[in-house]
This record gives sequence, structure tokens and C-alpha cells, in this order.
Amino acid sequence: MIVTLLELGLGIVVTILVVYTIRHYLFTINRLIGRHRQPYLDIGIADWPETVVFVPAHNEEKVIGGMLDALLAAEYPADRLRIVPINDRSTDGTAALVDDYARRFPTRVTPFHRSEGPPGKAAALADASTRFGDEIHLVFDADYLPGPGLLKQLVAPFFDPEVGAVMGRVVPHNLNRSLLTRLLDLERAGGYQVDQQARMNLRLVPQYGGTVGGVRRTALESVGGWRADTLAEDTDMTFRLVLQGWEVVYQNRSECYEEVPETWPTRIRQVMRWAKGHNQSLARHGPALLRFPRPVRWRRGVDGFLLLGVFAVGPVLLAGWTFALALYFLGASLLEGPIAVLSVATFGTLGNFAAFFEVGTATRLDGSGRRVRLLPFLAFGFLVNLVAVTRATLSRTSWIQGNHVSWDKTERYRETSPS
Amino acid sequence: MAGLRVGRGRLLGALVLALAGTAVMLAALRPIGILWKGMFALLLPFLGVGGPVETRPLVAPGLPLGMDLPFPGLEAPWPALGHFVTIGTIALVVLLLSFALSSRFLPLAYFLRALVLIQGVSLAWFALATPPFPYPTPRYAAGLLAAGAILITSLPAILGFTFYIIDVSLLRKLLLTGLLIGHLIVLLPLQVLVHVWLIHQGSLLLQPVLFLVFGLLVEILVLVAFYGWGMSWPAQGIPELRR
Amino acid sequence: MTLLPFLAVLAVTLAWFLLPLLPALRELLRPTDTTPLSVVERDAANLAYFADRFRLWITAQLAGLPLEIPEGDYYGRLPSGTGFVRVRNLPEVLSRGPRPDGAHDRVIVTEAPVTLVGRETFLLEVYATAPWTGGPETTLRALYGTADVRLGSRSTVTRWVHSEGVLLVEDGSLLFGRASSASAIRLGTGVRFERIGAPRIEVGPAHPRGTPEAVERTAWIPPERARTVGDHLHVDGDAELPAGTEHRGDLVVAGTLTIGAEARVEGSVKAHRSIQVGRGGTITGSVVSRTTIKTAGDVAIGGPVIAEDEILLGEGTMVGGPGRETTVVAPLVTLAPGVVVFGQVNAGVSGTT
Repeated sequence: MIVTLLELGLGIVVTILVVYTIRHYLFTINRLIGRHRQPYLDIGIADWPETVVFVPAHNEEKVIGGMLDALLAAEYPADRLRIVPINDRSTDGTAALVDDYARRFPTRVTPFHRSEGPPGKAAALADASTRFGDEIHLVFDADYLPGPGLLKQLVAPFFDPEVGAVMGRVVPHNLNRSLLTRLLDLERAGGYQVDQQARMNLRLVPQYGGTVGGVRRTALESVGGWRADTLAEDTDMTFRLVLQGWEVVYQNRSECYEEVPETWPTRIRQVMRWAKGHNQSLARHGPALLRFPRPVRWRRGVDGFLLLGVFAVGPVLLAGWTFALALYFLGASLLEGPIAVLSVATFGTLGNFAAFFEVGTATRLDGSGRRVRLLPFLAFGFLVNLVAVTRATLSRTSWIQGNHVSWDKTERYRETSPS
Repeated sequence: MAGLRVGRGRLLGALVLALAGTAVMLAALRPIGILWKGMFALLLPFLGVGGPVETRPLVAPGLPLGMDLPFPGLEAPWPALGHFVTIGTIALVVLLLSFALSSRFLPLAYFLRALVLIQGVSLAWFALATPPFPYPTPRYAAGLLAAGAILITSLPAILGFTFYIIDVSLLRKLLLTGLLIGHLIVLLPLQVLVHVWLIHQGSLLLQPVLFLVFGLLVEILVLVAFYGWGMSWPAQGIPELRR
Repeated sequence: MTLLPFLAVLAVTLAWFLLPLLPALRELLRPTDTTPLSVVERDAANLAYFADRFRLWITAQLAGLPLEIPEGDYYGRLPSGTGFVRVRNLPEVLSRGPRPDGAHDRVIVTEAPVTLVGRETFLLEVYATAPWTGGPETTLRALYGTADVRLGSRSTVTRWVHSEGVLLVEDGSLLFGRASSASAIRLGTGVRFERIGAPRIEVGPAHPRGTPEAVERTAWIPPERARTVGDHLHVDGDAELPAGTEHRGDLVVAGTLTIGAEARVEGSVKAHRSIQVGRGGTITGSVVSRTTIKTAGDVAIGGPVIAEDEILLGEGTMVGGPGRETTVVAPLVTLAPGVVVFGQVNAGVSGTT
């Protein structure tokens, strides 16, 4: 009886993992042989709409100056661009710094200081976005370094009236700091160059990631604005938009530098925050997606559900290993008999290899050099992610709705503002 | 950031290469079996543990593989008190070591704790269970070798759609395939010998952790290492990668 | 004691296992590839980017020439070491280059109006500081003109061409890369191009445009299956705006969209399938299709025109307006005679007039 139950459990786990493995391979092969969709990238000239760029910041004095300098240098009509650093109760020099920018660029920089209301990026955005009527709302994290042409590229897709949100590609710029930063560079390459772009190519659900991108104000209003009670307001926004019939666009060539975590504890906190936020969105929107409503249909519904469930796979995998361990000790024959051997050999290989294939392909598409040789070390990254994601998934925050959310900021490492 | 533009020609080439490689591997299984048998016959006495080299036919559903899979016939003892004390102490030391590591080595610490966890379960199970253990060591060794043989045979197919469609030269594709398969052909029997010796000396207590962590995952890591190396090779006809 | 042989086998096994990890370990310990990936560059949207950079380079090079070089036509080397020809008096020196095949393998700098006979080949850049009139079948790598530039029929540009004046491209020419003008581009028929940009781009002979007549339009009644999503109307399936109707607001159609003659949309339109716009139709915003966009004659479009397969702009179609420059973008673009685009046309695969 116990063995049967364990085998059933293992069977379910393996089925889930097989689905995700197939998804990995499909996406990667699409990037190798499929049609590359980037229909809005070459819109070089247009009557650019009024745009506001929000930079939510909580104790970001190390990096926000570089961000504001980069935005001020952007090739976007100055009379159509408003830069709004949102200083949410910083206790360092952030407030003074953004005020200094406002003094120097009074027509361009409009700081928004928050000292009341719930803290956190989502709440800050929810608060600030209602105060600015600009047509397009772009959002960047304070440590990002947008290039001069990026804003136009991110705004261009909004000429398509169906587009509700746009996401660009995040590129680590501090990758030479540690093994972790180099592994994150590989992970990001796989996630954006392959995963996100394949979803774009296949007209599935690219994810709006909360930075290097933005939303259309009317789309934002139509779904009720930013939710303040979530750890992943970006994922939440993606699915509220998609469920209402808006399109989310990913632009692979709209790249922006970011600072990735340089230490494992910081990385774990980051992954845990993402996992909790993702799981909250899974609980909120997963059932709706699987009802395949008219704007979503089954293909996008399934893809969206799998995207939302991606952080729940960690615990599923651990459960699978637990079942396998238990079955092993109970005498089940995992390496006995031709079918079992074949299954373990092929699934073990193909399943484990899928993520490496994705990352390897991404670096190849990027035209990178020898960084891909670090591929075997990614196993370390996966192990840490697995632990972090499982801890997050098993926490209450992952599944309880409407909980209090505060700033959970990633540590910054930059010592001077880059020129 | 250029695209790879995998055309039909390269896809067809990859398919042909994968099929040809698989055919070669199927034909090579018998000599590989002979090689492995020779290695076991030579190294088992060298290790001083003796034991027969047994064989059994390698079968896969629907596929006549034609390989006589050799494997060490060395039995392992049921754990005695000394085994419990020694392995338990080592596990405890490893656990403590994992907490002493700095945060820079966190992945290693997690890995060590995972090992200790599995070993802990093994200790607990053997403390409560009575013989026989469901997996006699010879069968375990044969199973690992069988899975390895199937993995090796399927490598041309795996590389077919993950590497052969990449824009490196045919020579490099063949080179990577040869190096990878050649490496695994040597690694597998060595790995099995190390496992068998450890289980023979340390009792069946060690078999679960060796199977679950140091079994096929080692071969997959080797595959990933070769793959990462191959993916860093320059594109065909262009001296340096496209940066 | 069996430990020593075992340790030997273990060491060999570990060493053998580590062997394929050597490239990874080497890259970890002695990194060779830690430069961040390059991100959005300034050349992305500015079609004249390479031309501007060339102008900066060549003017700096010319300024660095020794003062004592003789007046008149001159063969020499720029400070960078690149061979160049300065043409002041005798443009005919350009009729044949020094290579056995007659090609010019030096940078050409013209300081007097040039009219070529045709069939010349310029393997390096040309910097024309006076009007340049090319003959037929001329091949140019790149040309920067500070005045008007005329490319003769069946000419080929392999990289880029830019004019600070009017760029005139005669019939049957091939424009690989970028073609831009600070003033206007006039394209003949049968011209193939990739990316072109100017405040005004015209195709073929001037199209007669009368004063638009005041057309009485009736409000379009959307089909029942239409629903409002945010600020746009979404129609499942196909939709048609009959001739002479009008719709105010953005419109998204899950099927094909047909906009009848003289119909007008005050906003942007998008279709998941093709879009057809009838003669005299007007869309004040953008037009977006996941497949093809085809306009009949005298259509006016205010915003970007974006298709994922093909765009065919019919005779007299006007995109953008003076001071309201915009972009036409698709893998395949065909511009009929009389088409006027204010801004850019980007054909990912091929553009044709």
C-alpha cells in the first residue's frame, strides 16, 4: 500500500518534471530553429508618447545617481519624459541626492518622497502611479544602467494598441566579481535569451519583470493599478493584464545592465522573495488561467500556469527525491529491469540536461566566449536555488493573501557611480 | 548578438550524424563489454578484493543490444556496529564541517548536508532493518553499468539536437563526441570499482548515497562539462566567436 | 591491506573524472570572458549613425593633413595611413580606379561637383562635399554627401549612403544597409532597399494630391462580439469598417480587419491577421498586423505601420506627416509609386519600390 502510494507520488512528480523538461527543450529548440519575433524593435522614429520613468528607491544612495544620470542622457524627447525617483522612507542620503537632481534638472526630475502608507516597491508604485497621467509608465530599479536608446525601444511596442506591458532584457554588469555573479550571468542569459524570447516567438506569455520595462497607463488602470500586497507586483501585473486581454511583449534587444547579487546569502534572499511572490500569483491567478478564458485560451493558459508554477517545482523535485529514497529503501527496483534502467537513464540524463542545454544555447546566441565553460558549476546554483525556493514555498507568505509587505532590498555593491 | 540561423542543411546533417553515431555505438557495445570485462579482471585482484567478474546480457525494450554486460560479483556485508560507528562519525564530522564553511562555499555546504541527510536515513534504515538488503551489490553494480551503457549509446542522439545543430565544424562535433564517449567508457568501470570497494569495506550502509548522489549524476556532470567546453568553441569558418 | 591499491584506483578515477572539468576550472581560476554583454547601442535607431561617425573621422583626418600638400587633385595618404584621392579639378580621374579591374581602392574626397559616366566601383568610402551625380551601374561601399546625391540607375550601395541634401536613387538600384538623408529621399521604381530614413521619402513620380474633400462619415457599429478592454475595442474574429464609416478609439481585431474606402479610424488599429485599407481610408494612429498590411491608393496613416510578414503601401499612400515623422517596419515592404513616408522604412528582409 505504502509502496503503491509512493510510486503514485513519484509518478506524479516525474510527470510534472517531464512537462517542464519538454518545455525547456521546446523553448530552446524554438530559439535555435524558430522565427525570431521582435516586430517593434526597428521603430526608430515616431511621435513618442508622454512617458514617466519611475525609479523606486529605498536606501539607494550608492546607485541611484548613476541611474538618474543614465536616464537624463536617454535619447527620448525631453519634453515628453518625466523622471520620478520614488524615495520610500530612505534613511541614507537617497532623499538629498534625488532632491539635488530635482534642483539641477527641475523640468525633468520630479522626486516623489514617501513617508506614509505601506512600505515596499509595490506600494510605492501603487501610490506614485496614480499621481502621474503620462501615457506610458516605465519602471527601473535604482541599480540599473539604461543605455541611451533603451527608452525609445521600450516605448515602441506601445504603438500596438493591444500591448499592455513591455519587458526588456536584464544583463549583469558586475559578472567579474565572483563565481556566483558569473553563474547568474549564465542563468540570466538562459532566462531571457531563450525562455522569454521563446515565449515571445510562440505568442505565449512573456513575463513583465518589474524592471527594464513598463506598462500602459490605461492598461494599468483597467486592471485596478499596482497591487501593494504582493512581493511580485510584476508577475501579478503580468497575469492580471493577460487575463483581461492585454498583450505582454518581451524585447530581447532592449537590454539594460543590472547589478546581480555577489554573495550567496543575498542571492538566497532574492530567490526567496521571487519565489514567494510567484507563488502568491500562482494562488491568485493559477485557477483562472486553467479555466482558459477567452483572452487566454488553452495555449497561453497552460504556459502561464507553468510559468507561475516554476517556483513550486523546487519542492516538487525534493518530494520526488524523498519518494525515490523511500522507495529505494522499501525495495522498489529503480535500476532493475530493462524499462526501469532505460527510464532512469534517459529521464535522468535528458531531464537534468535540459537547463544546461538552455543556458549553453543562450550563450551561443549571445555570441559569448568561454563563459559557457562554467556550465557544470551551474549545478551549484541550482542546488542553492532549490533550497531557497523550497524554504520560500513552505513559508506562509507564499500562500497567504493580503499580507503585509515591506522592502526586501537586494544588497548593493557599487562603490562609485559609473560614468 | 547574432542568431545562429540553424538551416535545414545543418538540421539534416545533425540527424544523419546522430543516426550514424547511434549505429556506431550499438555496434561498439560488444567490444566495450569486452573492455570492461578486461578492466574488472585486471583491477579487482589489484584492489585485493577478488571476486568473480560476472556477465549478463544488456537488454533494452525492443532493442537487441548484443552486449554481455560484465560486472563485479563482489558481495558486500550487512553493516556491523563498527560500520555504524565509523560512518556515523564521518557523517557527523562532515555535517559539522558544512556549518564551519564560510558563506562563500554555501553550495558546497548544502551539498555536504544533503549527503549527510541521505547517509543519516541510510544509518537509520539499516539500524532498524533485517537482512537481506533488496539490492545485492553485484546487481547494483550491474544496474549502474547498464544505465551507463544506455547513456553512452544515446549520446549521439542527445548531442544530435543539442550540439550537432550548433555552428561548429564537423571535425569538432566528431571530436567532442569521441572525447565524451571515450571518457565515459573508461570512467564507468572505474567508478563502479570504487563504489564496489567502498561498499565492500564500508558495508551496505554506503550503497544508498553512492547510488543516489555518485551514480549516474557523475556521468551527467561529465556530459555537461564536455558540452560547456564544446559550446565555447568558435563558429565554423570564423576564427573567433562573434563578439 | 587493500587501501593503497584502492587509493591508487580512486586517484586515477578522480583525475579521470576531473579531466573534462579542466576547461571549466581554468575559466574559473583564470577568467577570460568576464566582459558584460554589449547592450543597446546608439546606432539602433539613428540610421545616419555610421555616416555621422565617418564624417567625424574623415574631417579629423583631413584636418590632420600636412599644410604643404599641393592644390588640385591629389593622391596621398590620410594620417591613419589609408590611401585617399582628393578631387578638386578633374572629376574624370574617377572614371577608372588604379586596380586592374578599374575599381578605386582609396577613400575618395570630392571638393567639386562630380558627374560620373557610370560603372565605376568604389571599394572604400566616398566623402562628397559638393553635389554628386552618379552614372548607371556604379558600385559604392559607402557615400557621405554634404550636398545632394544622385545615384544612377542600377547602382549598388553595399553599406550605407547619406546625404545632407536630397538623395535621389534612380530605377533599379540596390541599397544594402542604410540610406538616409537630412532632407529627402526620392526613390525610382524597382529600387531595393533595407533601411531608409529621411524627413520625407517619396517613391516614383510625384503623385497628384488634391485638397481632401470633406467626407460625410457615419459612425461604425461594432459587431456584437466586440468588448472593451481598457481603452480599446477588441473584436473576436474578423471585422470590417464599411466604406464611409468612422470609428473613434483604438481597435484590436483577432482576425482580419478590412477598412473600407474613405473609412476613418481616429486611433490605432491592430489585427492578428491581415489588414486591408481601402482607397482614401484614414487611420490617425498606428497600424499593426501579425501578418500583412495592404493599402489601396491615397490612404493616410498617422503613426507607425508594423507588420510581422509584409507591408504593401498602395499608390499615393502617405504615412506620417511633415513634423510627425514615423516608421514603417516589416520583413518585406513594397512601396508603390506616389507613396510618401515621413520618417523611416525598415525592411528586415527586403524593401522594394
